[in-house]
Amino acid sequence: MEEKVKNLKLNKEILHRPQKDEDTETLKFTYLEQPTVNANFRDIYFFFQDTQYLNIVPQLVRDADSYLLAANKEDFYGRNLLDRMNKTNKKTRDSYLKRINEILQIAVPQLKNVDFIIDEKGVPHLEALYQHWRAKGAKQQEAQFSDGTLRLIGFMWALLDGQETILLEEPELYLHSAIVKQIPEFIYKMQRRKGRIRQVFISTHSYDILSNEGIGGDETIVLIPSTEGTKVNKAIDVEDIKKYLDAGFSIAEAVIPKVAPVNIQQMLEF
Amino acid sequence: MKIDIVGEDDVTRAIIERLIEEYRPDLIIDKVLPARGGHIKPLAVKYNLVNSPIMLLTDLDTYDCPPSLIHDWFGPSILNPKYLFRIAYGEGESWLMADRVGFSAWIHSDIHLIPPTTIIDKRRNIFEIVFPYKPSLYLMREIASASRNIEMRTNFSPRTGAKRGPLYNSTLLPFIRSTWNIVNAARNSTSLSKTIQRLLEFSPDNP
Repeated sequence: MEEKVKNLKLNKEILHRPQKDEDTETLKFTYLEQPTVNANFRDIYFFFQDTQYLNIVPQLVRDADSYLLAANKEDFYGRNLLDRMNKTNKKTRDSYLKRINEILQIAVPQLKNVDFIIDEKGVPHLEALYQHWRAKGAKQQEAQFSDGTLRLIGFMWALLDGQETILLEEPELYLHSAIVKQIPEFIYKMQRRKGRIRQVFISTHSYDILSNEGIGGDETIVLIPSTEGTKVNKAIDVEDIKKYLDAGFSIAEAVIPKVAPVNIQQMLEF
Repeated sequence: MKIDIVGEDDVTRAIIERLIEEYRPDLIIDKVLPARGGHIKPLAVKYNLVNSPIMLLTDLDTYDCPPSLIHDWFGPSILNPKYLFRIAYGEGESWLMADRVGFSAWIHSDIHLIPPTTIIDKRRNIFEIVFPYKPSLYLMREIASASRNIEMRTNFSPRTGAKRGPLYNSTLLPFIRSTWNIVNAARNSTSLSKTIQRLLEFSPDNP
């Protein structure tokens, strides 16, 4: 294993480990993690520290007990979504919810007026009007929302709230393919606000997402497993993919076959 | 040498794989295309532009003859010599059933259920098995349904509203891979024997 830090602007090496005096103990840790030795490249440290990872697990958002459990922990699964909404000041929260409602109105037309409330125990909830055969419809809370609705609300909130780099895990999950097709342009619009562009990474297996023709070969990172470990490359730098992109194929057509498991149809022949 | 293969369903792709394994073991299959099955017609023209070895197999379906399909798909453009574009008379399944003895024994049905081989063009010596309707449907409706093996009957008989039997692919793929006798099949299908010939001659580096 190696740890290398390089200043690409000055083309100067800042760190190259392992160094002479290291032993198995020091090799257990990276310099990046330790404030005493990362002073020369602390920007990187802050960048990773600020980066948000989000993979909303709707079942956990629904479970009020899990909210209490997760209250003070790092939150990867969106359990604290409601808590984060709670900590946002009311004016900002209302303006975010207004945006979210406008979009939900189109994606989930039966659900109206998603609002934020706090119950008598002090636990935050989302509440909305579900329209059905009764003239007035019925009030629903997040426990009754569908998985897709919860994921969509969570992603939109995460994209609206904050400016740091964000990693979204498979945003296509639980959503109708017609909605999934809109995700690339939707994120493109959401990440550009107030004259700034927020860096968003998504991981995906979705043909629908990748068939969007606006996705570039230089912004698609392809992970190709090999015996030497997984190779990470820009799509445009992989010759086998580039020749298909040049012939006019979409990212989905050019990339998915390259990363598909070899002989996958043999799954059927057990 | 690496080659990418194109077929619109698993059966077609498995046929290409078997042909390459049998006749051109020097070719290494790299990618299996397209990423999503279905109609390959709009993609076929783009494969022509890729300029690296690709073998595509498609069904003649309702076209009268291969040249009319090629003309309809490609118009006046010329096929890239690295692009081995082949058409199965009827469907890929026709090539499988063209191995009359092997196929009927495997599916446990009477050999006479497979229609006779017909001369299509006497002058050019073109012959094929002509099915009265879509060969894959004929396979399920007339041949598999008459099987003496209950598994074959259930695997191939579609549920209401389904287009294929529930285990259509997983039953047929092992046949293609290990049982299908290509030499016997080629005796009943010019489109197959010509494909084998083109595959043997295929040399994308020295067109």
